[in-house]
Amino acid sequence: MATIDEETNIAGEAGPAVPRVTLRDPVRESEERANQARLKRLTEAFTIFDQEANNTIPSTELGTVVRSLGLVPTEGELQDVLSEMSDDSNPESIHLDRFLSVMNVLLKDRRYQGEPESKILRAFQVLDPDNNGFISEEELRNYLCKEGEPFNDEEFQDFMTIALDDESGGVCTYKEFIQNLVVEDND
Amino acid sequence: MLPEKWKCFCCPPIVKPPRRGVIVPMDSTRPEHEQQIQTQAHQLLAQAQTSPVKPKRKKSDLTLAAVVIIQTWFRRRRALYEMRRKTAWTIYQNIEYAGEQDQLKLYNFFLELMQAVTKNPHDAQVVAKVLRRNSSLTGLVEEIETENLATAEVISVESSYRGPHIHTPIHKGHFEALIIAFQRGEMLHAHYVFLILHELRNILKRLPNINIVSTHQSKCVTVVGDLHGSLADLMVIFHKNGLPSNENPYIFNGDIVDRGFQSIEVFLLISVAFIVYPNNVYLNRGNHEDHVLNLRYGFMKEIIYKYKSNATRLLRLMENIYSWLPIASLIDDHIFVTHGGISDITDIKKINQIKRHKYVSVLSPSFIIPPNEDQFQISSIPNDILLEWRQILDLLWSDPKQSDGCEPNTYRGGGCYWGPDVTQQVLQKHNWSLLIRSHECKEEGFGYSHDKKVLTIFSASNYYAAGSNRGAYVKVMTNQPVVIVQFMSTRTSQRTLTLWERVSYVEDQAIKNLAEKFTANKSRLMHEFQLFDVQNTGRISVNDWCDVVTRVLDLQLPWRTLKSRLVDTDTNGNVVYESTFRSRELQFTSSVSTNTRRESLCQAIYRNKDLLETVFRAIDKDNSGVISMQEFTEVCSFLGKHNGSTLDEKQIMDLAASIDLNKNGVIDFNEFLEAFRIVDIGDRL
Repeated sequence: MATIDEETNIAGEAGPAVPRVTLRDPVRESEERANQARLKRLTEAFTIFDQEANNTIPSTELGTVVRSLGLVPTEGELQDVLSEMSDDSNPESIHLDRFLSVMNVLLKDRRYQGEPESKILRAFQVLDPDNNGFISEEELRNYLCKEGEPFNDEEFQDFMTIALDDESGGVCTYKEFIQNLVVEDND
Repeated sequence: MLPEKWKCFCCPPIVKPPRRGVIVPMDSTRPEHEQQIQTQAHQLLAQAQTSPVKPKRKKSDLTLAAVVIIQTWFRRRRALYEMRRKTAWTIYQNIEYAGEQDQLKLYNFFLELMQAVTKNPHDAQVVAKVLRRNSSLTGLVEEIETENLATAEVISVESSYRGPHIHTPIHKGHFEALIIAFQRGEMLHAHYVFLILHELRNILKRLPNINIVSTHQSKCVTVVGDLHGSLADLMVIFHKNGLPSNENPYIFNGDIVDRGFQSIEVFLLISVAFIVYPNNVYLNRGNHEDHVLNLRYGFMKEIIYKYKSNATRLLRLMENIYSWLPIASLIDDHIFVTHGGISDITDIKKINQIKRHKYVSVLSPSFIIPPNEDQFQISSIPNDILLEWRQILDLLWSDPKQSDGCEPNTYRGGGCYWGPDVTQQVLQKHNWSLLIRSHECKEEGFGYSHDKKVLTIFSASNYYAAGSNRGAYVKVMTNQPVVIVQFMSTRTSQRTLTLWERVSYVEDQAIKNLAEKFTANKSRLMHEFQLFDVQNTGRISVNDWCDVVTRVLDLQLPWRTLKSRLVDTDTNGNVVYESTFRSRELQFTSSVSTNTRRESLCQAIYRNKDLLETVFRAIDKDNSGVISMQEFTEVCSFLGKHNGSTLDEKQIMDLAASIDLNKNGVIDFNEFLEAFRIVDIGDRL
């Protein structure tokens, strides 16, 4: 509800000083608060990687920061984000200001939203044409390390640690795997 | 050489690959179409979902799309874990620095008090006692006294002793016997400890301030950073890099003791290696090779626990040995190795002229402390003496910083922050090409600064918690770029810890630490929370919660990122602030009745536990664990003034009485402090 102290003098005539109207817009205010909160949240995530406390992070860490904030870009899309945020004079690091302005747009436009669980399951099923319910380590290695946007050794190792089901001996029962990696998106 | 349970994990150096969208399609789809592929992927999967029959598209396109979806999804999951790991790291670093700051704030407070004309002789006496703990022996008297200290004869070895026996001349066989014994968890008999340290001291006394190291003969030398009493890490290093020998020289760059639980074993092993190969094992003093720090950071506690009646003599001997440790090394005339770093005044000529063994403690050398309690006022110290002190202090305590210049290191309370311009200037002045230092924990075990002219090497892996960081050492070879080797010691698992495991270990401990801090500050926090909760809803906004927590704990941490793991929030996203204390509570003997005043007193004691312990131990000259009731209450209220907490003398005496720890006017302070524990809620005695 708006609080109107006094009506303005519409003609704007010169006269005794008229108190200005202060219209309180609760929608706008809560938007402002939300913006502020988001800003703080973004800055915090950024600062965690700001080793030297000079408001920059190394470009190599951008992926981690962006993804932890709810965006799910592919490597290629990440490159786009990186080029928008980085400075030609210093391509190795990203400054907080550029980061914030680009991130605000991305979040507003709800870019790079990521897939629901069902789509991930379908993706695995595509790789399992005979519908066995599992995929072997060999096959996974061939797909994930050689095709698409290949994993490096570290990523693949982390993947396989959870993907491989000890009991079934060297294969990934992907339905379980997906469930094991469900993450609470409360950030 | 290593028994079963020590596993060595030769982690390849982690070099994050530059993130490029490398598309390797199964047929020759051009990279520009990758965006198309993504949208195609959605379409295809949508199709595939609605029609169970396989679509008639080319198999490869669909497969490629599926692969990218899986990779992208997994990378997101992984990033969340990376974030958690990094956050936990931030917690540890902040708490560590806050702790150090605290320690040194206290120290500076003591010094200021010493310098002022104090109106309260009581206060000054407490301070003087604490600071005068070491021997202020000088000149000839010291020689004889220290000889007495070092003599092993007075301690006889019982026939029941089953550990290793060491005799002069100490040789390689003894070294290997000690390695095996220490790995089995055995303790070396005090008699032999004194024997070794005596030998060590004799050799150290003949050394210059700066070790001159040459790779001419052996072609390489290995530099090891902070070990902090970690026998596991030393074993991994020896396993990967070989034992020290005339063909395999080592430089140990300080901070061998404190924090870890096997400081004396690590120190003894390195000492024996040095005794056996005195021309190929080099020791640099670190800031923790200092009895003032040993008070607080664990070495003293370890010695008292392990060597009981011999502890006092042993500690005094260690104090003396520290003062004889060289303070730096120079490899092939162009690589300078020292524990902390440099500053704008670093000058080799000046350093060479110092009589280093005046500095029994580098942090608080004896000329700062008046020789007896009557002299409360220190006459002003001449500038040249101060400058000389700074030379050594800066070498052992400084940290590099990003920006140019040189300023006092207020974090640590000693040494400087030095910038790239200082590095440039000092390196140029001496014709050096590289500075190798330690002193700072690095996630990867090493780190470069100042355009790769400064290399930090840190060799204690899992420093904060299992999986928190790697350790590393560096091999310097003649006319070649240095080679850095990383490792992580781990006892339990059969393989390298994965990201998931590292995160959960590291995070658990970090969150526990924070929960403890919350509980230790409960009264203050609740008071502040309630100020924001006028209507008594039990809830406040996230912003307000973060502000209060930052202010009361004085810790700059990513609270928003952490909050889901620390507190409960309601459906509006507001914090239910009582849940801040949901998991831990401060508990003491259940026989004590509590009221709010007592509660804050107990919290204040818990918060200051470390400091209290340090000061108690300093006062307790004969290491008996017992001090007079009066001294005890003096210390408590003295620290209270310093810390702004209310540690009221009378209240404390009441409390001690109620816990029934006041026996005939003396108090066992270990028991007293043990009575304050933070436990999981529900774990009642």
